[in-house]
Amino acid sequence: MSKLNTDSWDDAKLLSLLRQGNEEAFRVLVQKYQARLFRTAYGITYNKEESAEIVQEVFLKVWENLHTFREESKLSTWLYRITVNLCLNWKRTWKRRFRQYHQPLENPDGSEIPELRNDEDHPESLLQQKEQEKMLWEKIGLLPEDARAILVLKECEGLSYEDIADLLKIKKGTVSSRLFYARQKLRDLLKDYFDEKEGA
Amino acid sequence: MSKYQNTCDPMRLSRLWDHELEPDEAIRIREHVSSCPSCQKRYREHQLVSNVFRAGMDNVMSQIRFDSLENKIWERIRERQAPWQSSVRLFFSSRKFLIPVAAIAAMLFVFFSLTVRTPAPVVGPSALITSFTGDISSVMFLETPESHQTIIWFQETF
Repeated sequence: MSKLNTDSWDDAKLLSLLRQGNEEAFRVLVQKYQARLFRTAYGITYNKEESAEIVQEVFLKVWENLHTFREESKLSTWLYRITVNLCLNWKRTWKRRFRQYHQPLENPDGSEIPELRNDEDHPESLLQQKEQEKMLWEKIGLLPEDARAILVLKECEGLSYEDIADLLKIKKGTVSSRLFYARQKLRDLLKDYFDEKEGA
Repeated sequence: MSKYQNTCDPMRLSRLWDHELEPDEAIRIREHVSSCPSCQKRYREHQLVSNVFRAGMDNVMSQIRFDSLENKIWERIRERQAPWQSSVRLFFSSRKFLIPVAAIAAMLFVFFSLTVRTPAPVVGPSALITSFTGDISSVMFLETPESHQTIIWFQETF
């Protein structure tokens, strides 16, 4: 598939053409949103294969149900909403949870925990830093999925509280308190690490 | 003096980090943070977690082949566009089809093997009589019960 210039397509134009069954518009939609939706899905599932399947399912749903989209929210919000709902209701959720609680020392999809830096610093401190980052990444993975969903939408997608509230159909105040809860929970999980870091 | 200025408020600190405070409220909280080591520590923790989460995510994203993902999306759409063909293909390739067909075939085999009896083999005539040349005192025509063969019994007089 060739790369299209997705910048020149705003959502209103895209939607109008999509409603006419324009395939190029759908390709633009896929290229414009697949990475964002994948990131959101991965933030919740912590699993690449599942996230890829979920993203495919999202676009299939959009293809088939575009006529039901009433433009009460932004197109992007609708896409994120489908993604989050699919992630939270995915049929293999129980499996994912099982893996999460029984194999906490490696990524659920069996891949390496992402390395976050290049080997430019001193090897010893770098190694230590990598270990700490791995540990932090794992701890984030221990958060409940709904808490991680809200965290990824804010931290990685940079959505506003208003957009997240619209997306999850909750109040803005609830977004604020759930984010606070997620951070508080992380703080508890990382208490020893933070205390050690401050003491050093 | 503001009511927030000398009070640690973790919830507002979280909203400050998210840029979700009103401008005047944000100024007040920032003033408090600048003089509160505990809030400074908490703010640094937000920063650290956020950095790790984003960096980890960026790293994962760099490993994903989105071209291939896009192709898969189109493959699945094409399948849905031809629902008749794909459903027939799916039906024939699935166990839903094969298992009942095998079961029905087995049942039919057993049924016919038990009920249908093979007809008795047709036995050819033991002799063909083309004509009678002598005097015949008596003749009997008989028929076998199952194969319905005709037997001609006769007595010649010499």
